Amino acid sequence: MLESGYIRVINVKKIFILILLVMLIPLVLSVSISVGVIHISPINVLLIIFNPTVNSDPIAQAIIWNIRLPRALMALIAGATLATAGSALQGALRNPLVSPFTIGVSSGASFGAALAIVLGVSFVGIGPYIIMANAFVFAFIACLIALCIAKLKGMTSESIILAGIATMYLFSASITLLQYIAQEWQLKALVHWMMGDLALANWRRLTLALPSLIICIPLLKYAWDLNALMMGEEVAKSLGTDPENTRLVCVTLSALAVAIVICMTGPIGFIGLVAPHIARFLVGADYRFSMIGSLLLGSLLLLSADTIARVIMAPLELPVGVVTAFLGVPLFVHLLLKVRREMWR
Amino acid sequence: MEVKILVKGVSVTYGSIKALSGVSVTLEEGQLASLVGPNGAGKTTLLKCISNILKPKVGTVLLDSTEISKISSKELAKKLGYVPQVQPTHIPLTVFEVVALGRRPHVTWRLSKHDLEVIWKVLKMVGVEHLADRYFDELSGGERQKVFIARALAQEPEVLLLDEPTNNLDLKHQLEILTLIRRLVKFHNLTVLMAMHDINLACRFSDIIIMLKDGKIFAIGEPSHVLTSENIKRVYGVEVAVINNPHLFIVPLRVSS
Repeated sequence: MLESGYIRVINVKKIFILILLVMLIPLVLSVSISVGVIHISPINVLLIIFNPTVNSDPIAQAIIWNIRLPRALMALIAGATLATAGSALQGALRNPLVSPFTIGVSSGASFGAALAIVLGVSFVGIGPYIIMANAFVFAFIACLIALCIAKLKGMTSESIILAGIATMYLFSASITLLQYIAQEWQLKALVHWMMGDLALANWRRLTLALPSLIICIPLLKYAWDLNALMMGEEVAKSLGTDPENTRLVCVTLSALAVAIVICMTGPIGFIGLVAPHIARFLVGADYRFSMIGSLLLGSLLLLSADTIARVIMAPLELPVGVVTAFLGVPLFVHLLLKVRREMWR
Repeated sequence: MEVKILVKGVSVTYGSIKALSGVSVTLEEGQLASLVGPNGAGKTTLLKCISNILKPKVGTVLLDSTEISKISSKELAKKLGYVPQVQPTHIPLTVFEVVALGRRPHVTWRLSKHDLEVIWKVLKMVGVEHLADRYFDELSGGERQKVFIARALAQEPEVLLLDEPTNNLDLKHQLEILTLIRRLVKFHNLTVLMAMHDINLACRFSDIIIMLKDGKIFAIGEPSHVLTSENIKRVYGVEVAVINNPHLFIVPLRVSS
């Protein structure tokens, strides 16, 4: 039964699952755009998007083009980035509990936002963009601090994770301090920012977020190196890879991509942790498949979560960060209990 | 015979501990050599130096008369396979996928038809093709070791370095693995260097024995010349009886005082 064709059958199965996920995206996208306070049927949605010249309802047109479509696309980009970065980090640091936030990026971003909101202090950016610019800069500073500390201990997986957690606590404490001295309205704005929300998405922000997706492409190129790392440091080296370099590049690129996204959306948790696990469950641990799977699943999960966030308590919209946790935790626990195989060492 | 590996005056220190001091070894093409010596004698360190995982500050290692530090890591991986002693056991991959990792130096993204053929060839060579679709963590220790060797063979190396390949294995698996290695040397002209704890097995299967003590080469040569009771007493601190009928056989008697 096991002949050379076997691997082809397996690969065809994996590719089929990936194609299925790709096809799910437009489906979820059109559903997401159609539901809301004002319901627009999916057919009308498609008509308005692909044939805007047709004489249709101008209100529906405005809702779709100005509000729902950019927001849905933002969900896709943010989800894809968070999940791909999570997958790359879990592989590079050989730890299933790692997510983009373990390396300090989210608390750095939150601290940057807090500085801008509470003290109005910013290094770069003007007007409405100071929160965004500050969040981005501090997200990356957090990652650099973590990497510098880790460098002192030889850039091992453990040292990067521990340094990341230390950085996270440092910035969290700083945020608490800022919250303590903040005015009530500032506090509200900050807490809201830190929940993670896609409501501010617009076309300009979308173009600013797009580079994060482009950064994911070089990450995908590390799939074989991440596979090799599964066999341990020494075998990875003997296979011609440089584990230290793999870690450094994957951590830096992931942090950069995630920083680009969360400086606009706030830290949306759980996608970067859960999507890689679901992907591994669906297409196996080979990173050539599971990273692409993570990318697609991250998009789908975040878009679904955001759609639920918009409609579940309508007309009130929940921040998506709340929904990802409520949606992600049961899914995660289910996988944990149901999947027999230990996906990690 | 051509010289395949030349180790010239390699010294390695871990902090203040001298792991290797001035080690020089020559391995000829198609030779099966065993490294023996007590724990901490420097066997693993020497294997790591030859595989360029460890870069010695003093001394050089030459492969086909080229310094290995000057060969790109990818090119080196096509010539040299290394199976370390300790490897993770919970790898969430199938046997096929583990062996496919050996193609890493040869591929960019896709596994070509040729790659798949090589993988199946080594799976059959090692005798684990029936396990191809099994998950790696379901295997027994002996099967795992075979898969690890298959993974290294999938690199299509000219030199194979093995760190205690028969460690923790039952008698049958020990013999199977060493017979396999012997066959690879004979029919595929592979050059093999392996660290061994079992000196009886080492002398049964090896062309030459390299005896290490305290990071230095104590003796080197044919098994019957190196594995004498006098040498073993001085290196291991153990009194042995050496029986040579018809195979060389070493019976440990007591710790020498």
